[in-house]
Amino acid sequence: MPVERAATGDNLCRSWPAGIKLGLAVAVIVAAGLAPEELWPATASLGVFVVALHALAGTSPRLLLRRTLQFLPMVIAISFAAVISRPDADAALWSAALMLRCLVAFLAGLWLMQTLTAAEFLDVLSRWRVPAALTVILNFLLRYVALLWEEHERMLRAQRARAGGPSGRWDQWQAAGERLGLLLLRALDRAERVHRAMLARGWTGESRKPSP
Amino acid sequence: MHIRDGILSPEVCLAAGAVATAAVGYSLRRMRTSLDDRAVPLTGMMAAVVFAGQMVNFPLFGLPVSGHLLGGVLAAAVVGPWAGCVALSVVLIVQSVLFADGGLLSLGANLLNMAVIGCWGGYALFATLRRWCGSSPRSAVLAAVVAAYVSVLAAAALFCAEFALSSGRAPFDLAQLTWWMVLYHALIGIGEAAITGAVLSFVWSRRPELLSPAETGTAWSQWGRFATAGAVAACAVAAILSPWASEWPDGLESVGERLGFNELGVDRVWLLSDYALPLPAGWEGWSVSAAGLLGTVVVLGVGWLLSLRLTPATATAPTTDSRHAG
Amino acid sequence: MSTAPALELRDLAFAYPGGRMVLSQISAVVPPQTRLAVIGPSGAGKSTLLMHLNGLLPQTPVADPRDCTVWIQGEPVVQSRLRTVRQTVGFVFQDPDDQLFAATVEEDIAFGPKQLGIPREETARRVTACLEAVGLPDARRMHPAQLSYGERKRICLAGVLACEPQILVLDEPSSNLDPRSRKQLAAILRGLTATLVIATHDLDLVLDLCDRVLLLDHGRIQADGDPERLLSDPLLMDRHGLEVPWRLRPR
Repeated sequence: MPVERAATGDNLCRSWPAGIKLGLAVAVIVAAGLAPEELWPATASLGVFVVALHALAGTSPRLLLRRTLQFLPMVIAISFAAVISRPDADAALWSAALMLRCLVAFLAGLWLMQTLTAAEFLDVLSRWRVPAALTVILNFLLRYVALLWEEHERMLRAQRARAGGPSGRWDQWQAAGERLGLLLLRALDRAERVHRAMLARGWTGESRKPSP
Repeated sequence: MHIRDGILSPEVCLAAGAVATAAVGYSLRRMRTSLDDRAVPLTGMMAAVVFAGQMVNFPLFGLPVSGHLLGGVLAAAVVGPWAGCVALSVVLIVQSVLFADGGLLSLGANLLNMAVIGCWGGYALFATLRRWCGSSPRSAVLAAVVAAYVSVLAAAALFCAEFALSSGRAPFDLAQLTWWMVLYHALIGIGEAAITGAVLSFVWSRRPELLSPAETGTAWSQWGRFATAGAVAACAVAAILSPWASEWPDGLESVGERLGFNELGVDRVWLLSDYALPLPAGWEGWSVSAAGLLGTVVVLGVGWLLSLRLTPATATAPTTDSRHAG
Repeated sequence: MSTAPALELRDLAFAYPGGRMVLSQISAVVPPQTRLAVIGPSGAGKSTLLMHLNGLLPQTPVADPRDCTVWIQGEPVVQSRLRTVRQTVGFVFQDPDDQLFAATVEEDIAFGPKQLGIPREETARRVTACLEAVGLPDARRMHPAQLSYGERKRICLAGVLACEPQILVLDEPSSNLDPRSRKQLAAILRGLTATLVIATHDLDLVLDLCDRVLLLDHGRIQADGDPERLLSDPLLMDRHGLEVPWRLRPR
């Protein structure tokens, strides 16, 4: 899968309760969002705090750098547009504050990604009384995405083997559309079969929580 | 198109989140009525397809970057607006929490703009356009293509409104900033429309029975769809015309006061003003509208090309599938 | 009730919408604890027959018991009894990825008991017991993608066993399994007391495990009897697109 999630190395934050991890990340983001531009040193210290959390979580610096670089262009674009629209000191300060805010919030989200496992997240959701159907659907997504991506990669290899040479953008584009279309059709067929298997094990359409 | 944390204020995020939660909750209920015990596996698999689909690279012409699917109209056209909305929501939730792709606080706004507007609005447009253009597979592709484009523009309009509400006191020209955003979304919209059309025309050429049958009474009422479609289209038009909207600052101010946002003291938010750049006054407005118009033309052209895949032979296949009951 | 056959088919016939007749004149009586193999060439109707055994087909089972052609433990498979039927008859599908849908092994095995309303503690006990029974006690927290194909097949079996069915239906259980996994699976199945109905191309598995064979072709029962006798008949095997297993061929 192109999007990696697993944290490697010693992650001291893994054992913290899931609610704490989620709450902490959200608290940092809210704080960064509420801080006015003048208080940018406070936002900056918040950023330092989050980097410290990353150190605790054992986030690899390369991952941190790579994800931050991927993330920056969009935020820079908005800040740039703001500065262009009124190129004076006020706007520049606002843009810089925006970038800082976004960066701190992004790092907090990245830390959460490193420390919160999917199982913990699903657990938190059911404790917060999120409808069981939603958590089961989330489950499905986490279960089948890897399978679908594997199928996609197989199709890509098969298409490349057939193409026999570099094809133009239009062909690549059509091929991508076909792959996605096939993926959708196969997924729908599989959904039908999974539905049957669920029925066979007593599924009635109501997601049940286990009785105590 | 994912709004990152820090761009919208926490208050706006919370408000958007509340609306989105209500909408997704409603979709969950409607989904179960229309799809019965198939709802969960079908929606779950659709969510997996959308998630995987968003990672597929579609090479852009003349540019070194690649385009990606969002999937709102695609999902809605295949599994209906309710299941589609739930599927997109689940994708956005997983992306933001478990993959740090999209904001945590701004998840509410993202859900509203992409899952709710994208699926409900996109489907409403799709269904309404199909009613007008006839029920052939080719008109279905065209309808899907236009719906995808317009829903992205509508999401852009919503984002601009959210941004304006968030940053009312910011020392920059909101009008110009919003036209940048609308332009950017117009480009994304063309990509989304083209990809949606490519995938759906392939799917429907292979399995014509997946084209939605005529909507029954238990589905979304015709008037409800029409009204939603109209609202979404209006948002899209507003996005394109936004640089000229001079009455809006009063509307925004009063909304802001009533909601307790005490920062909206700016009174000339939307009027054009002098710029340091040596360009004729009002050029952004025209360029955005031109982009919108050009985008629509391009999108219709692409939709027509893609629908050619559906020959008259496939158009006569029986539509017996009850899978899609929007 | 204890003398009722585990499974009874009374002139079962089935055609898919669109008209193609897939099964016709299927009649058989299967006593409890039989290990029945359903064999036949591809397209014979084996999977279709199996899906009738727990009410997955027809899509809406008959409402009137008098029209019923499938009887489980002396009771007809009708709409109102589907829940009980699916509790009594466990179905293991051919592709484990169609059945193993939860994000972790533990959750998947617990799915069946949860649907049955089994209390949490008992569900946990069953999960542990079933994991032991299929030889994967450490797989609880694993994600299906981390398991091999054979392991996923065994987890699917565990998930069905957790519902404690009295009749176990398996569709091609040994397909795509390497010899070691195949042996493990056969050993697990041999240890079960449930009535087994296995649709398979694997004639060696039939000889290892089953005490009765139903040969299906063109939607009808072509032969019904002892595995060794049937499978060593070269004319019968050849006529229905099968081959006599090596170990039964004359030296």
